[in-house]
Amino acid sequence: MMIKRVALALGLAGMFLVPATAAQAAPSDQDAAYLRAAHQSNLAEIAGGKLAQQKGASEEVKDLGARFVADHTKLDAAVRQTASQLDVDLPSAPNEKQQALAARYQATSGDDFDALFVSTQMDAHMAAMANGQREIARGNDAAAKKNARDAAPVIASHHELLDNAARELGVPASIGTGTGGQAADRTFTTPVVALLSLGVLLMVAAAVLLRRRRPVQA
Amino acid sequence: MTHAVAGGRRAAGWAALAAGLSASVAGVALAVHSGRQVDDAGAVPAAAAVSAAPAPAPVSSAPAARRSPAASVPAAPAWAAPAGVTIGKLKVDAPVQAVGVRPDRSLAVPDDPSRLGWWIGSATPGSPRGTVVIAGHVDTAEDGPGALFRLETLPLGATIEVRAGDRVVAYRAVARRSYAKQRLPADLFAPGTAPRLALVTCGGTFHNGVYSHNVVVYAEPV
Repeated sequence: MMIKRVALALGLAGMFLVPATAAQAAPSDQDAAYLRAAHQSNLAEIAGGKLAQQKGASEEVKDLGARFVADHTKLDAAVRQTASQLDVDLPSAPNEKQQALAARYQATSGDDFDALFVSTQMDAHMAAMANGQREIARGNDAAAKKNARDAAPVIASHHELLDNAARELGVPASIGTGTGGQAADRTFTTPVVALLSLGVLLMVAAAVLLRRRRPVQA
Repeated sequence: MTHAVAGGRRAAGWAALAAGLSASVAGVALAVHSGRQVDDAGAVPAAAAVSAAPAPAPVSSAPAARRSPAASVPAAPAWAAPAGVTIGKLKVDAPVQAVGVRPDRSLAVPDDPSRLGWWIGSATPGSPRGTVVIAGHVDTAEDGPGALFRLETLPLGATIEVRAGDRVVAYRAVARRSYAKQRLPADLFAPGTAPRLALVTCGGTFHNGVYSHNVVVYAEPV
């Protein structure tokens, strides 16, 4: 009797343990993909932010750079921790596209750098947001999904900062878009000149042809 | 001179006069037509955002809302900068790069007239609010006609597609305006307008290396 009760108790306890261990089961492909992409994105943002601090033409862009370095370092610490808990291997460097972008940053300077940095960072943060959304919707592992949920507001705040910086870099007062002159409204275009010349010529010819010969006065 | 010859001369004379008058009238008509300014047309989309109007693009800028399990992934927010513009009617397919503002407050439009510039402070395509400002040289002294050379001939209702990130956002031209330089409407650069696209180039008369006007085509998301 006692044995049966113990067995029952153990069995019931075992039932409660199973879901707990299931949550720590191997992460899905989606979870692993999310963590890898998030890590690469953070590495790219940290590198980009450092370049912005050095090469930014305006204070706004330098400050953005500093903020990105700080925030993405924190985000990456969380990603690395989750990845190690879940035994997911992380790549050691940003992906090819991100590296190509870094090369572009290196090659650009002055005001061109600021416009390039702000616009490409908008794209990069959109990709990071999409990565997180995908994990939240389709991820398996609770820790990985929590990581995505926690990162989302930080990424969104960076987008707002980028938007504000873009306007602070200057609002246009004029747009000069043409130096060639071929699109100008012109009165005396070639066909016009041709038609008018032809018209005048024909009317002179008409005058000659219609000139009445005065009868010779005898 | 015989009467027959005289009659022939007279007939030729009248014919020449008729032809001459026709040619002259045609020439004058064409001159008037060529000298005419681009027609303003259509109704410019409201500058003020209409709160009742729903956001046309199915994107959310908030992080994913809670949904039932195995849900579809919500569309990523429309944050991507424009990368290309296609105007089928004009056979235009031009790359777009982000540009800022120069110290003299002119937009830093790309020197190459085949490339367009998107002002980074303006909206991204697919945003629920704001004007996407894209500009290009109508022509340059160095390179001749640009991608937007025939923008002022674009009929209202024509489709303009803007590629940004993974998506293509379609717009329909709804208005055309010609503004004297230095008289561009301020709401072209204001945030929070109703969602719209503005393609800007030059037009009007040409003096001392500059055009007198900006030509703007406004378009609404389809």
